[in-house]
Amino acid sequence: MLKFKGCQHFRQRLVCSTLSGRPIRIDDIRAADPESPGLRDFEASFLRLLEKLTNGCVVEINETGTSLRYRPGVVVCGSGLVHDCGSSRAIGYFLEPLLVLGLYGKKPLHITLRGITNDPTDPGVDTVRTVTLPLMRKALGLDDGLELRVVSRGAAPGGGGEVVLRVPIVRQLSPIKMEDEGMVKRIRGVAYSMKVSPQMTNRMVDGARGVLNSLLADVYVFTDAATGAMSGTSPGFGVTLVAETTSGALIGAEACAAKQAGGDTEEAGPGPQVPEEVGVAAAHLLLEEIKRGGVVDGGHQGLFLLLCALGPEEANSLRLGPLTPHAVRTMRHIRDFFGVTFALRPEPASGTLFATCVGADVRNVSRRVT
Amino acid sequence: ASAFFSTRSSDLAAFVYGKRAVAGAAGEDDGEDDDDEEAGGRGLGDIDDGAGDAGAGSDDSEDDFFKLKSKDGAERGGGKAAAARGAPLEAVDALDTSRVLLAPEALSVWRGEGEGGGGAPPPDLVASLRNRFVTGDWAEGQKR
Repeated sequence: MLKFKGCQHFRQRLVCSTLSGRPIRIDDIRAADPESPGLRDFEASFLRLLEKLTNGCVVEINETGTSLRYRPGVVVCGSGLVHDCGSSRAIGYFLEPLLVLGLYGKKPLHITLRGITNDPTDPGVDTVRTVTLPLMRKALGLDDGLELRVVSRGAAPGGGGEVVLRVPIVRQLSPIKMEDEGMVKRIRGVAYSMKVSPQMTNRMVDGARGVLNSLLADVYVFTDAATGAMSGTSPGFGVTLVAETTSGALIGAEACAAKQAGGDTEEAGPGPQVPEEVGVAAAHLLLEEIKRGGVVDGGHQGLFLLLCALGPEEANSLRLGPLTPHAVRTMRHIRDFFGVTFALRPEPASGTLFATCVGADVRNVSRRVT
Repeated sequence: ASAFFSTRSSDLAAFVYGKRAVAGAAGEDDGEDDDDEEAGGRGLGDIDDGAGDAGAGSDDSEDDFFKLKSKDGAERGGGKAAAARGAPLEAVDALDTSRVLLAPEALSVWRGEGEGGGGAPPPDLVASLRNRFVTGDWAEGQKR
């Protein structure tokens, strides 16, 4: 039984516990919060999602919700699943762990998720679709079956979006070797809007292009102005940008309007409000990620470190920019669950580091043997 | 965040693995002091440190004497400074998101001086990135 404190890295703890088969116990979840200690609704929602996907897992929560005991079951997955993600966190919060868990299911995963598709704190569905999935396909050699379809969009706070995720099963992962950054050859992106003037998307594209065109002419941002039933219940807009390099690395960045509760009289949030500013902010974020270097952007470091650690007993290596706090926590959890330690070799000239590990060779035990 | 890279890889390993994720593991509390010395900096999401650090820095000036690195790695232990920042590395209740949440100040360097001037980044920053694009010098770009 592994013991943890606090709610940091909640999803990955549960994912690692499920994949390693080791029960965990988390104490003092938001114990210092005098107003509302314990698990939040989105964490409870994630636990329910986990119960849908697995067989025989046991979740025990104490009265105040500050302690949690989890004994993992067998990952089943399967098709026809539906999960309502609620409106506290975006669908991206639930997608990331599913991408890893789904690979180790008994049956391929086919799930419909409903909720907020894009918000300022979680990776948006466009980022997952245009960055995460192609990178996973390339790194793991998955040919098909990995797909995310955006049925309808939903902005915070109302949500109302819907996506369909399909994840194939694997027997074991293939070794990952991603060391060549390459040079940025084109920038693509999606500018989306829900329940606002379709002109907003073009204005965001203008803002992003204004920054990026000084470096690269090949910038094309698609527009997706969702209206009617396709646009969820709240207005909102944002843009996702992806830089593709000559070596096939993808670096993503996104920004969305930090508008609160729909009304135009609400107080301004901390983020950008005007469409041009949103586009400019996303472009700046993309340049920042490119400047940091690495084959994946900061938001994907944790996922790919985890995939490396789950990989076969060979050298798995990644080239990363400066580590994010999420990546550092991921590495600590990987060591505790799987006993895998990364060798980190910084390269001061480029400001990147090479993370190498020998994988734990986690195999899909629930897959049917034919 | 730029101070994150140290020349020795052992510093980096100690920064990452100096602290255990498992609660109550041996050396969790003892390790705190060592941890602060070894950490050459923080991850890039922690850029949003602001006023909170200044106060905490003066408290442990005695410890600063033994530090090789800049002291901004040291404030992680201080509860007040940790609460003031958005997502410190050691906070047990840190926000669980993989997205890089940068403070607006971190991106302001890209905005340049001219406020509202279309947000064009300053030329020197653009020049530093030039060779990361296919439009730049390929020989320089391949060296990385």
